[in-house]
Amino acid sequence: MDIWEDWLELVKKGNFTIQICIDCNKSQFYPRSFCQFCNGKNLELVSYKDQAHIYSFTEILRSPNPEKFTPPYFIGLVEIDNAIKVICQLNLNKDEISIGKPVKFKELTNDGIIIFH
Amino acid sequence: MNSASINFAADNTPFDEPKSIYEIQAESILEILNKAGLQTKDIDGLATNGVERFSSVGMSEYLGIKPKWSESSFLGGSSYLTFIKRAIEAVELGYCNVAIVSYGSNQRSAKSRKLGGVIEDHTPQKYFEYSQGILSPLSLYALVAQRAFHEWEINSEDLAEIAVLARKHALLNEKAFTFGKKELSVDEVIDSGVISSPLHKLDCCLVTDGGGAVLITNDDISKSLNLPQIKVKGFSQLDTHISYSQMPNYLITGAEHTSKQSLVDAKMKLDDIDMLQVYDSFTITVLSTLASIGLDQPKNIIEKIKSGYFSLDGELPLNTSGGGLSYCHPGMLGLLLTIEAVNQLSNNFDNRQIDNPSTALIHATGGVFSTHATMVLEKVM
Repeated sequence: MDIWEDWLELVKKGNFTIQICIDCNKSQFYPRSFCQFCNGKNLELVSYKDQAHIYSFTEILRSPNPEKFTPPYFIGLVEIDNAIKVICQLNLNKDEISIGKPVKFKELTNDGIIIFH
Repeated sequence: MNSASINFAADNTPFDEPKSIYEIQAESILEILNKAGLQTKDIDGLATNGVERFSSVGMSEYLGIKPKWSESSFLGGSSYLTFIKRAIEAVELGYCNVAIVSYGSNQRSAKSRKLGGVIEDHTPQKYFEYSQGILSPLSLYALVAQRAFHEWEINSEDLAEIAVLARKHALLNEKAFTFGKKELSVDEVIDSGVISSPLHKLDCCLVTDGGGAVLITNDDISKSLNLPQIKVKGFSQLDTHISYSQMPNYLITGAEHTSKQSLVDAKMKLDDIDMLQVYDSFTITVLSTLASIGLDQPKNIIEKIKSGYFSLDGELPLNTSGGGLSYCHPGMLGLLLTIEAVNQLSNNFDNRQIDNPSTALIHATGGVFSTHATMVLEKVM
């Protein structure tokens, strides 16, 4: 579990990172202790390179946990570098949200919420 | 090697009188044993899950039995198709002779279901997904639906047709939660309100109590007792992911592989199938599954629903009980899909019986399209 706590602490500093395998050059998210593609252990955490866009989205109108989340808000399934999917919150207005729209990483909150905008 | 068959199946939906998980299962088990002329002491194999940490053992103890074979893998909604296949194999290999596969849930009366889902603190899903504020699994199916709107050019009205069809069938099922209500319209589904866009309240399955049991025996036993025999002709399982971010394809799921493979296993084609029972946790689950099975293009599938293709007297009746959307959804539906197929194949119904079916294809999924199992059943004439 330390690998995930470490990742959260790192990303809170402002860069959304994914694991790249130095041996096979493939990327993976969430972080793992080895490369799921070539089974190598030479993994490096790097900021994502190319672009991120909205693959899908949903507007939440009922709270899963009223103490933590106040609807309405948007959840995004964001595709990064055409390889990786991330569930996050979208800090955008309703009319700014559509499938395919480019987005950028904004922040990881202290509550562990990944925000793209 | 022995041969084995499914003989009887019974469901149990105690909506008005809350019962324990053990009691719900026991009621259906006793019903099918009684039909077969057997007693609990004859059971030597049992598969169940979701009862307690030692699920099969706890249920066996309640029944007062000491099985030689048991199974409690947790695969969510598809668990019970896998259990039935494993039970058939266990009888064929001689590990047991009389096996019960049973399930029960009192999630509605016990108020044990949470909108945020079940969160396990040590899992990647907790770190990377539940922390984002999703309704689980609703929002994750909503993300599939939104993507389907984009790629398949369908809309909320199209998905609503699936809920409308389910209700039609449930109105003929006196054990259904919505029995005695009226037909749904597309407008009523839309007007039920969006919870996680684009899915509305009536795009979602029910949250109910319920359960059931299936009896599987060695064919020597079923012949001596003159029991009906239904064969598992084809089976295929595939587990693809549990974290949503790891789902290999958001529209065409593991059902593509398992449906194809189960038909190969059965030496059949889709044309040979007389009915479909597919998991309907949400309206989008049905459309995605039928598209993955390769039935038709998604838009054509919607047109087929409207034209009666999947109705009780249609070409390929679908979810004849009313399914999770309108009959009963006690947390996991896989066993109830199978029970409906077995009873249809046995011509056990009066008002919703389809015309003398001999084969059924059942598809169940668990998690968010995470686990898949397809089973092809054929009755022995």
